Amino acid sequence: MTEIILDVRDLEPCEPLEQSLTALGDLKPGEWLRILHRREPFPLYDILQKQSFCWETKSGKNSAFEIIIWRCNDTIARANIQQQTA
Amino acid sequence: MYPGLSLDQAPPILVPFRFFLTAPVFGILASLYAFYYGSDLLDSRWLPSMLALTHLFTLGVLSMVMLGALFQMLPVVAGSAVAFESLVSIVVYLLLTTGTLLLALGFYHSSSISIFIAGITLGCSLTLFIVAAAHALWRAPRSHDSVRGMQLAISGGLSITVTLGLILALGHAWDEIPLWREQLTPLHILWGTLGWISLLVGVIAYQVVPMFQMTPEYPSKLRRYWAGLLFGLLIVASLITFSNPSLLGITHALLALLLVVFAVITLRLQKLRKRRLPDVTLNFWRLGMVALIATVGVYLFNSVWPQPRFELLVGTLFTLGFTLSVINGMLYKIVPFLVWLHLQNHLLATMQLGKIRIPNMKEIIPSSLLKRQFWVHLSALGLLVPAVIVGDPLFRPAWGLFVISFSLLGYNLFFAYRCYCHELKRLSELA
Repeated sequence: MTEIILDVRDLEPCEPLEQSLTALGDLKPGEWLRILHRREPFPLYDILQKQSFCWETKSGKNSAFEIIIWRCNDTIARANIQQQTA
Repeated sequence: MYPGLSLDQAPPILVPFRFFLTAPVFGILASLYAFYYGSDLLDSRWLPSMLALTHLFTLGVLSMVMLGALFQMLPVVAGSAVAFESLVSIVVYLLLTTGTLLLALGFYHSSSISIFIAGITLGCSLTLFIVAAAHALWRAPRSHDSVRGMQLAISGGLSITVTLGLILALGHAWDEIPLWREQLTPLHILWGTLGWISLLVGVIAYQVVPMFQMTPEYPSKLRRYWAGLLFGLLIVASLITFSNPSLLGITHALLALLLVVFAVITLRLQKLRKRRLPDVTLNFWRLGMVALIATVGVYLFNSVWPQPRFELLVGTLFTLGFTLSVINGMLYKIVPFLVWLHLQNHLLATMQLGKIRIPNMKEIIPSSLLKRQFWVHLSALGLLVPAVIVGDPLFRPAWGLFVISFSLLGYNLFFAYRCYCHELKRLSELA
């Protein structure tokens, strides 16, 4: 079970989106991405939907927003996320 | 699914760029006009030649940029685009450009027919924009402080400014229609400067300052009440202009206080920003906020101890010091972001995302170009402020510098647009 954490809280636009896309491109089966963000990244959601990624957004402990992203067809990653949040 | 910016909803890039690239042309035209006319312009703010200059700036530069930015920002901030935006934007643009030129010519030649046609043309342009933007805001999926503030600025501030402007234009054009200059002109100025420009700058700042300048968010109480208070005080000021003008001083002082609160909080937030790297756009914003505080200071001083030409100084500080500086700073964030977003959208549409690198915001307009324009703008303003009081020796050099400043602004914005065209061609060839 591998969670990739990406902290973009201190980055200026458009770096958070660029780094998020790079990290998503590197995701291996079973892995998922947790992005720590200071603002809700609306442009990212549009891309995620078109690229068949699933996501969940919630208030983070150390950041205003935490976005958990996984490939929608990656059932292992989904199960691991559920196990971690349970 | 989350409501928010849809990349598909972003309007074609030429929609805002058409406005952005035209504004510096009007800036150059206005500065050349002031340079040519010389310090005789300072004789009175009522001079038709001064009214021509004022409207070249407020309509041709400031409103031109604000309307272009709104076509782009409505989908981003409110999640709702203007219906038929390509058609609506080009009609608004053509009528605004023509109307502004006709109005300036009308004032310059004291031509009633020109002022009349300009009034109708501008009225059609701005009414179309108000209706289209109000419709987009009305069906917006999101309603937060900035959206509500934009509704007030467009459906309230801009509508009232346009209505008063139309009545004044008709009064200028036809002798049969009384020109209620003493009552309506101050209200036209008050609504234009505060109800349209300041209100919109304020509510857009809630979004762009924290996002682009890495500052903490504006305080929630300010976001919730500032725009409403400003608008409410403008209504009160308008009503008592006719019923009890002796109370105007109090409402104007309260309006001044609201502007200072906004400026001081913005400066404070910028001081608390997370990334302390040099940023030219931040300098433009800081200059704008300092100029806003100076505008209020000079206005209050002149209200108590009236001085010759101080009314002109207030107008100069507000228009060129506050608004132009902030708009400049905003353009240098919005334009590169827009180019980047559209290129990103192209990558997404052609399945090239993650495979090809596109320039980032700092590469779209290099900061050396921004710095150069900032220093010319600052120097121009630094010369014009004393020139408004002393006149001749400084007046023409100041406007000469503004000609250079607007030329550099135009070049920088065109540089970004050219970068977009080059990149798009490159991506199409690689696809």
